[in-house]
Amino acid sequence: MVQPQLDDDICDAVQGRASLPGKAEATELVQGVLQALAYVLPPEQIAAACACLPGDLHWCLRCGPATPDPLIDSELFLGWVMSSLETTGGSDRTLGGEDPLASLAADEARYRVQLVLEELWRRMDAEQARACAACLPPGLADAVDPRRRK
Amino acid sequence: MSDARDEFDLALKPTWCPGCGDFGILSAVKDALTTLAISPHEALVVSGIGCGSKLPDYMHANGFMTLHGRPLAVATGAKLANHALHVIVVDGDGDAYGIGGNHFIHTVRRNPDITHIVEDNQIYALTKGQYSPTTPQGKVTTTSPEGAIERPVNPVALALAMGATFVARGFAGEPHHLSGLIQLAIRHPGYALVDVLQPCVVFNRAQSYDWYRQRIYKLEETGHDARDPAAAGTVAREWEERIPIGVIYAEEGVPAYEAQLPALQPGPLTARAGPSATRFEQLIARFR
Ligand SMILES: Cc1ncc(C[n+]2csc(CCOP(=O)(O)OP(=O)(O)O)c2C)c(N)n1
Ligand code: SF4
Repeated sequence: MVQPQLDDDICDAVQGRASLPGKAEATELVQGVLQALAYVLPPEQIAAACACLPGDLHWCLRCGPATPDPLIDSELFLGWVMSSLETTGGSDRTLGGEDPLASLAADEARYRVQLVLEELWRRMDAEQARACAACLPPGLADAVDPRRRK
Repeated sequence: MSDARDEFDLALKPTWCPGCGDFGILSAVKDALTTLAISPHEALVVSGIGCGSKLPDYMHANGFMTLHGRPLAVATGAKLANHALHVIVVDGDGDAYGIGGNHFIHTVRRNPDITHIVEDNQIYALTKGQYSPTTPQGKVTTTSPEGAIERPVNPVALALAMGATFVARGFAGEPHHLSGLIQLAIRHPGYALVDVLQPCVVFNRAQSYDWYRQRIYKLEETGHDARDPAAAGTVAREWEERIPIGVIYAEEGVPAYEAQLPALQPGPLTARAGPSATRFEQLIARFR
């Protein structure tokens, strides 16, 4: 299996494509998606994904349970990324609380997950990338389709 | 497995925020019931008020959304009336340990055969981010602008202190593991608490999936003896650096409340013939 050699760092690529202000935000995003993947990919796919990523990101893919969790759905998967997105719009003076933006942030979260996955698949052998994609929670592929971005 | 789980599925899409830990809890509840071969008509899911308390709306089973803080009282009544029903309470930490705290304490020591799943996100989420009984000390929220003053409730330690016969903690980010705990809780013949660490991606962004992942460890991988009250007490107090998930305590042989209640010795209400029409009319007449 020949891995395509990409010169650009995955975090740099994601930063540019997602228009994130800094490398730190991009790294947090990439780490979030990889950790979510750690809970749904079997060991063989984890190894394949690690093989095309720099060593300092491997812990993210190796932090999950010994076997993939079959009950993780596309909504729960997004949780790893939602925590790094702004989901409140500050104080709502009429109700005395925070003003949730979560439903809007969700579109952005799905879009960012899509970008990270695309960058990951690009770095992998096509067959392995397909095998990984097949392990994603049902509905995630549709949910993160950028054409559905509002 | 997934085919059977479909029995509990509804077309209704939950209104929870994407990424909410409640999605994991819903999957785990449905999976646990399916694995135990319990049918929708044999289960009653009772909740209070809150984001997490919307759960009964999103599954096909008997459901009862009660008042804020009152699901344990309603669930106890249902169990007394119909012992055959698998009664599961699902509510938030505000519901269970705040406004419903008194019911919690007394239900624990009463020991009815109820499974209590608490979606513990350490915040009042539905009402937009006030601090709750389990909010960490010092945390800034809309009702604690200078930081929460009180020490948080430790629900698993409190349950143990009140004589709970089954105490477990799960993580919403690992629904398969959580399903295993819920199955044990349902099979336990008495009150069973499953406190679930539930990330709220909107109003509690500190206790995120990553925050929990860095800290949780599984008790079953450590040789923890859940029958040992002293060992249970020790792990129940662990927090911050290392957070145990799994069965903390399980005591066998304690009869459930409904099995001891003298008024129910002839059997549960559902197994008895109701009053005759004449008797019912006489009763009504007394109040006319
Ligand atoms: C008697 C009463 N008091 C207050 C409220 C307002 N209220 C609704 S939900 C809630 C708190 C919800 O927090 P929690 O139970 O932790 O659930 P979450 O929303 O976090 O899932 C409050 C205070 C109410 N509905 N009824
Ligand atoms: S506000 Fe928090 S608890 Fe409520 S649905 Fe959103 S993420 Fe879940």
